Amino acid sequence: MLSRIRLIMWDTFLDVARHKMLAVHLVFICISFGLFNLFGHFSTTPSLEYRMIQDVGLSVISLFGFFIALFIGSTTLRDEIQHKTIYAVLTLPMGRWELYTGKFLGTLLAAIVNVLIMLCVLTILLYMKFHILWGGFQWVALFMLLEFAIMTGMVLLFSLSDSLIVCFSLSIFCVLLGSMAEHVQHLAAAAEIPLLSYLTDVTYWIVPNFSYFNIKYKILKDLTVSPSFVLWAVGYATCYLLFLLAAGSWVLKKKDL
Amino acid sequence: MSELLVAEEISKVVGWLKKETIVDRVSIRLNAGEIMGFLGPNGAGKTTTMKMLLGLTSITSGSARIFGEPVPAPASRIGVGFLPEAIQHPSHLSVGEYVRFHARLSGLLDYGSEVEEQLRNVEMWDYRDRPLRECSKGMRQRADIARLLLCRARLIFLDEPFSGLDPCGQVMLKELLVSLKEKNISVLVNSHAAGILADVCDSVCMMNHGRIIVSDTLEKLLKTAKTRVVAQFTNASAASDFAAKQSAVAHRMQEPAGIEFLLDDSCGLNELIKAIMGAGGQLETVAPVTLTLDQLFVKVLSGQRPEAAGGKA
Repeated sequence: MLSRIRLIMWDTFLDVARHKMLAVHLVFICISFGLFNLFGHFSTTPSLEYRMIQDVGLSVISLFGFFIALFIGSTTLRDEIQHKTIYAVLTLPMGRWELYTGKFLGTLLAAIVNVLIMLCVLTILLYMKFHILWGGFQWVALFMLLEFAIMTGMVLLFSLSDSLIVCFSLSIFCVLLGSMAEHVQHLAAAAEIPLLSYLTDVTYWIVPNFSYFNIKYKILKDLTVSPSFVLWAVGYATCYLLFLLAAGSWVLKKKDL
Repeated sequence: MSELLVAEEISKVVGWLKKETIVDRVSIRLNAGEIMGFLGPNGAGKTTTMKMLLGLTSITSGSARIFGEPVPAPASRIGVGFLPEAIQHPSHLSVGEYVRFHARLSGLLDYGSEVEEQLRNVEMWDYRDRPLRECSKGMRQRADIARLLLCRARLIFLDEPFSGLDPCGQVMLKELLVSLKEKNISVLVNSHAAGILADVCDSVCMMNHGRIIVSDTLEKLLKTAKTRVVAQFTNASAASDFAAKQSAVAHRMQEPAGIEFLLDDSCGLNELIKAIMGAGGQLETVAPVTLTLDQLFVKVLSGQRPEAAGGKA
């Protein structure tokens, strides 16, 4: 069972790695180089330039990370179904949940490696220009990886819908709502119509709360990241990923292929 | 013979508001080493039936068992293989990698020598390092057959395996099917290529509008009650004189001095033979009339009874 999951995970990762990742990395590296030259002209002091590059670099990684999650998550399983390769696998004596778990872990691994490469490129470029090692790199990496793991898992779940438009719409909707989760909570509390309040509250609890993983402001202001904050975020992400895995396995089990 | 596959009145209903029955109470029995052909027009429900038996699509009503295990339990797929129609193979894998990937998924631990054996069986060993995206459709089909054999499939489902293959590919696949039968592997093959199916199948199931309309052994299906008798006479006038005397029997003159008779049943056959011999004629052919599978398919679909149709001897 575990060997099958590992095999599917590795195959999924290789499939993504060989076909889809390189182009994204090249674009990112080109943009990064462009940013370095651009901000060199605008900033007045080296420290300001460093902060600006760090800030914009992380924003670019967030944006690219989301697109990668959307791209990888929406195509991995969907392509298998459309290309009918899934039939050859599912007619083996194995449960559908094993296939989904393998695909889930493979896409997560691909998304994580993508984001790690981009973060490493940014860090290396910063070091080459300013000769300063990025202090909070490990925390940024951890929180971004958790965030993109959830995004990828979510898109993979939505990719089981019959329509790509539905998959994209739901994914973008959930990412937007999840990024504004605290506002959604306030809205639920402030809503005077009971039904609206209830719906908003339900939405708040269902969509992932991405604000738990937003530590960019702490890193930019050189604030420390407390262990309890890290533990909470890791625990939340783990629970949410398990929920996504269970939900996706159940949907795939019920799906007529 | 032991029954590997038993489907009892399986049905598939789709739709939420407007229900539509796409497979209607289909029953199938397949024995070990038997090749069964699934024939029917597009949209008849053949592929859906296969998918239901393979657990890819749920069964709305009825039940099916493969190797005695209820479908869709994973145990029912031990020893089962499926080659879907128009499968787009993973482009990042070579032939060898693809086959090995499935061998490992099947739980085979020591598959090294078997990979070589099965790829050699389908004449793909020399192409083991070639990426699947660079292989022709025939080569990919053969790689798939190797995959199924490697996974020790004893029951193979093939969905339109002949479509898109050139004549050489079709002949090669046909030979592969015959070799599978020799290995006592059962095959359920869904195809429009009735001519090829007639050469390899033991039994045929014809479906239309989700229902099985004809199902039996090929021998029984193609056989009709008619008998064809061909006799040669010494000259044309002797032949026409004899034909005039036998005007009650359907016949057709053959150049230069032959007559072809078509008897509706075997009654009167002995009398006709005696009469031919008595008139100095020579019997050339006495054989039951059989249909081709194409003819049977057309007749069945057009709503005619196959027994009523004429055909070649």
